[in-house]
Amino acid sequence: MNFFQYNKKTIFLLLPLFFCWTILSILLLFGPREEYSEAERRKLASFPETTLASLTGGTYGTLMETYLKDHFPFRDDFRSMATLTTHSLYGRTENNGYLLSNGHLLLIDYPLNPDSLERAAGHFTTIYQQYLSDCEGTIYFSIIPDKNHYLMEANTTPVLPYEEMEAYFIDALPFAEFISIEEHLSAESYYRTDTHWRQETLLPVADALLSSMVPSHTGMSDYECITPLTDFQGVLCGNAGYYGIWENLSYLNASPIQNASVTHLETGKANTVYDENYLADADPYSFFLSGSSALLVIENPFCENERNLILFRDSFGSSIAPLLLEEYSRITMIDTRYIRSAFLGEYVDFENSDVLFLYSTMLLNDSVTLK
Amino acid sequence: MIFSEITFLYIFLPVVLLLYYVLPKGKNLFLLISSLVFYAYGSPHGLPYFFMVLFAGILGGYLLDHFSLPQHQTFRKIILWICLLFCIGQLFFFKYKGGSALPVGISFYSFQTMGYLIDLYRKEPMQKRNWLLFSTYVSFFPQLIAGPIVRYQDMEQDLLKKNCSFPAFQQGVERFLIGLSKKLLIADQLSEMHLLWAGSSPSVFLSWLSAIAYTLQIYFDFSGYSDMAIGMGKMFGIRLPENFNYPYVSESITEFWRRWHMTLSSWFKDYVYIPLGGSRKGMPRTIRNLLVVFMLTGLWHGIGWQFFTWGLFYGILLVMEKLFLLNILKKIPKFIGHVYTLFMVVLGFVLFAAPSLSEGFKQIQSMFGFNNLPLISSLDGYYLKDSLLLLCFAALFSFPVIPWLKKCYQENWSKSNKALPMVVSVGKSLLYPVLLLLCSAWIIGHSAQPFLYFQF
Repeated sequence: MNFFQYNKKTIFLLLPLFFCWTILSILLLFGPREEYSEAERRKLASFPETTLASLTGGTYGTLMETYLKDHFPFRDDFRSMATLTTHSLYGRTENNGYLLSNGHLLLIDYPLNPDSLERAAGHFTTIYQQYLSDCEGTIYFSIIPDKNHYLMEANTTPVLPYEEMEAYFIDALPFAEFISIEEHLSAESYYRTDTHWRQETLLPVADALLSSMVPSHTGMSDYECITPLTDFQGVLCGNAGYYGIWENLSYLNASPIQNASVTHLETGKANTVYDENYLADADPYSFFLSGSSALLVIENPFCENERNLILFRDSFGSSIAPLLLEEYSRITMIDTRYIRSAFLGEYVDFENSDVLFLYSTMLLNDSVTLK
Repeated sequence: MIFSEITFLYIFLPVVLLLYYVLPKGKNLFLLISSLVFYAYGSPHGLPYFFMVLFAGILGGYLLDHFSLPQHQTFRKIILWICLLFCIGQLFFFKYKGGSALPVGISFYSFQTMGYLIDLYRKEPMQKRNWLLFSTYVSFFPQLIAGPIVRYQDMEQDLLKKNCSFPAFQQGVERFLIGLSKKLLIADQLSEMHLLWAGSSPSVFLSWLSAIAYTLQIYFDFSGYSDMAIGMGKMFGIRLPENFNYPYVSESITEFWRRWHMTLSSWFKDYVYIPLGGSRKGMPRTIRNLLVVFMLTGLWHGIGWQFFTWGLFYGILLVMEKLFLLNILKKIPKFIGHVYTLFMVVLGFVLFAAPSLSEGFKQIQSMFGFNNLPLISSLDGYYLKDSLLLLCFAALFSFPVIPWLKKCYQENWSKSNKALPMVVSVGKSLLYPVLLLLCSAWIIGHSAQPFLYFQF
């Protein structure tokens, strides 16, 4: 019997399927290749090297599958489809560790990792013993809650117990005075598509920090809110495969910030507080102080007070540090994820400085990167 | 290579299918080569062991076939036992060693080879035997890794003359997509849930939730794989036997084992249970035979106390049903039998899924409120809300809803409404690409989960 003789009508049943299957196969094999995923902010897998070891060791197949998944035609659309259908088909809010709640994308960071807290506390204590114990100046500590804290119900959803973390560090860091900023933040203080906080909402937080650290602080100045980007999509969009939210990226400007200069200590490169080159970058949040940097100094030459602040920080620090220029003429920002704390003495003078350890709960719960 | 991978879906399968239909002859040789490429690509370290079993089958088959006179009986027996011990020895060695050393699919191809040799020894009727047919039969890639376990005689006819027709091909594609959807859209989603009981806030409720999730996951994972294998078999014109028949509708464990992993049950029935005497030699022998078969069924999955206990658990239940329980179940309302069966199946799969027997018992204890666990924990509501629809969806489709709808359609609706067949046809032609695109999206958008039965 001829293969196609049986029932010609039924052949048309499979035509749409064959069309899709064939087109995708051809595009997968011969379609264009990207090197970098803008959405996920990562380099895509390159074609696996064919070696005897990878072929016989069984790794070649895994590498090839990763490569093909990374270069699948319409990849971002398919990732988006997976996220949307997971939500719509099963009503699931959680997908691959990401959650869509009240118009916010959230990264599930749960459960509390006591080992990580202990590691972070040990790291800060080592820094204190090495550089700060004999210095004048007061040491402060503050924890930035993640946005899940404000968007998810405590105790009945997988959200980090902020109060528990706060209590732990108050106990573990007796040399530091704790400043609570939790009450000055809300869900609206954070980007909907990113884990970070929005600078334009941080005046009450900066005010709370400065009020505790500088007794003469009387309140924040007037700032102008400028919105250079109206279609900002944070890192969570690409990671979660959900591209349906756009939002503004705004910044605050006032004379202390306008006049400030930024120097990256490792490179000696000078820059401005707000770096517009990054607005068109894959990560526009790097607009604040040009993104991640191990060591940098912000100086405000017109500040009336000769006060120094050493700020141990993670990426959240980039957007709040400019607001602290109101009371500090010099802020040295240290990110020990990118520099070993043992080398800090070569670059930083800790004398006569206030010290603030300002970290997000996300980093404290995964402190393995602190060096 | 895994059926639910991009490499397989968009490169290997289309290329092999295209060449298979283009080739005017030599299709079996082509299938053999394709199957070996499939195996070597996914499990290169297992290839030497696969060849050894294949060689044992070819050589043993040749000798058993060649020395077929009554005076060769002792020699035939020796040949058979050498080959069987070789296969069993290799299987036992790797199962005992466990982990990544286990060649993928060894339990399946070893059993097919052993069945073939036993059938030859028994002089079961076969039309034609040669190394190519046997090798293609054992290595046929749709069923090489996780079955269904096929008898040579059942595949022989199709290997000699392929049943290639468009309706069969269409059915194959449909079956393949259904299997792929079962695996990706249901089983893989359930996989996260069965780990919940060991999470940060365990409770009695979560222990049950994860046990039920695993029970559904393993069904959709394994039956999804079998659907894909059967579907691909049809695409190549080779019919493979059914492996599942909605096991969760069973009203007794006896019925459950007639519906769950049917080809493995048949293998044990044909080559172990009946040769031991089956149920023909009195109740004590029947009980012994049942216990032996189910202990071996457990050990077939792995040399571990959890598998042995899982097998023994079913053996004991089947003996109890044989002795008295089945009679009681027949007299009481059917739903009680159904609840009893599902309860036992869920408990059984807790042992089966556990990394060790003690871990399995720990979860069972948790399910019954031991281990000082609270009845519910603070996060239970969140997990339930997040997974309730998925669980209901999976539970619904673990029952024969589709066959029931098909029956209604054929018997009633299609006759009363003339336009309906056309609507159904158009709907199907649109559903297939949607399923393909959706599955592709879920492969790309979610982390890959290997088939559960690949570890056996």
